[in-house]
Amino acid sequence: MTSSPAGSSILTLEVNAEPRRVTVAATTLLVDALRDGLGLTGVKHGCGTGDCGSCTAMVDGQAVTTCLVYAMECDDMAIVTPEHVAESVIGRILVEEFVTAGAVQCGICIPGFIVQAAAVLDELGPAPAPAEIKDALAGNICRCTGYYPIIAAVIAAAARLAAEGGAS
Amino acid sequence: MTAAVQAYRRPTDLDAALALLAAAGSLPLAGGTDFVPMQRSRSINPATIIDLKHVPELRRVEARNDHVTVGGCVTMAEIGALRGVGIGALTDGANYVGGRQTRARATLGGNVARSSPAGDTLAPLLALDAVARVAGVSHGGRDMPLSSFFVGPGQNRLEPGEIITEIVVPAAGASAYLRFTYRSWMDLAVSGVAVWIRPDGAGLAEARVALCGVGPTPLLVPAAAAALVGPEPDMAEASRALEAAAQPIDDVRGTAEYRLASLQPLLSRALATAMSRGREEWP
Repeated sequence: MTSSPAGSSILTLEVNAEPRRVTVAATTLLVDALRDGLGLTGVKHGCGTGDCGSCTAMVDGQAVTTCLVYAMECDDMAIVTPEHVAESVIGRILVEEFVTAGAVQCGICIPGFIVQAAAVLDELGPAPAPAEIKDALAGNICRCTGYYPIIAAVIAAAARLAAEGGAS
Repeated sequence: MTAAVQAYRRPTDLDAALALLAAAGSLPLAGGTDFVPMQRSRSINPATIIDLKHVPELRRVEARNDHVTVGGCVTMAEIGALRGVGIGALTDGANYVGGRQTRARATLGGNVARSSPAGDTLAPLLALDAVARVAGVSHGGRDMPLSSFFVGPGQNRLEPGEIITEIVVPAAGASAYLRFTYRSWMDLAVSGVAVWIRPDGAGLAEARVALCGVGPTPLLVPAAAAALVGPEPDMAEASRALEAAAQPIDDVRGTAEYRLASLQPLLSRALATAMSRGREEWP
């Protein structure tokens, strides 16, 4: 990290497996640094209070709501956004199963659901119960689907992941 | 005074953190799940944000025979994954906080320092007789029993510049925490009851009962605990003691009357869970 007299700093991050630099102020949120600084608009700025999960991304291997994280906290850390998750084996399976199940309506919550589901899919195992999925995805809110197609999509994705060898 | 935040600092040892925190306008940042929205809404206006997460001694968990020491920056996800019957109430509380994304960030020290009347780890920590170890630049450290730590909603006895380095949680006995919410997830407690017991044959040799969501602070209710001790717990007397100690208010989460009515079933179920956990430990 390098500081400038104006109070802004240049962070060095690994974003989606590539080194990136972004200029931020002390209280720039990670979601804003990703969207406005790096053009990664897969993370959505939803509630801004950590309730809706639309801004979920991975920071050093953990799914977090990026509206509750200052970009400065992530200096020298590895960030993975929905764009990158969607290109992974697990992410591709999840996206396909979300489409098949009709789990997407307006769509703004979906990148957050995909990141969070990808983060927990291995742990959920090949045949997760709906209650386990509800618990794992409780930090993501969808106002369109009523959740049942999303749960069905995750169940189908978990089965496919197991059948296809669990490669992540 | 709403001066913009000037700087973010990331100390990597405790002395450096305390020195930075001694400056006027410095505030400590742990998980940020309360800090960030409070700073965004200008409820707090730090000149300098001191990120404590890179101080190694604040990230440690040490389990001993009779107690667990949890660093101030240990996350709810880490606490929720701890196993051991004695601190069951604390793992219950940690697993109630937010969703997974929040639990990956939110810390025990943060939950204690925030001192919400409804904080889900606070009634458990009271029931477990936990002590906060506190450090400040002007002293080498002091122990603050949580039983006298909370003084009002969001208020506690920490001095400016002090931080919670660790929480010492006695781990003998068995415990459980149960709360009432309208939604199953992502909600704040309307009311909650934590119970700690030390069984003695068929009855109880010792007990502690703590409440949250029904007063300006989380609170211990010794009279309720006394009613549980003995060969047969007096549930009616314990419930009356809880209702007498609670000072609930009407708010968006529930009426005072409803909160009072929730205490008896919460106590009864939390006690049953604690006793069942105790039996698993000492068959």
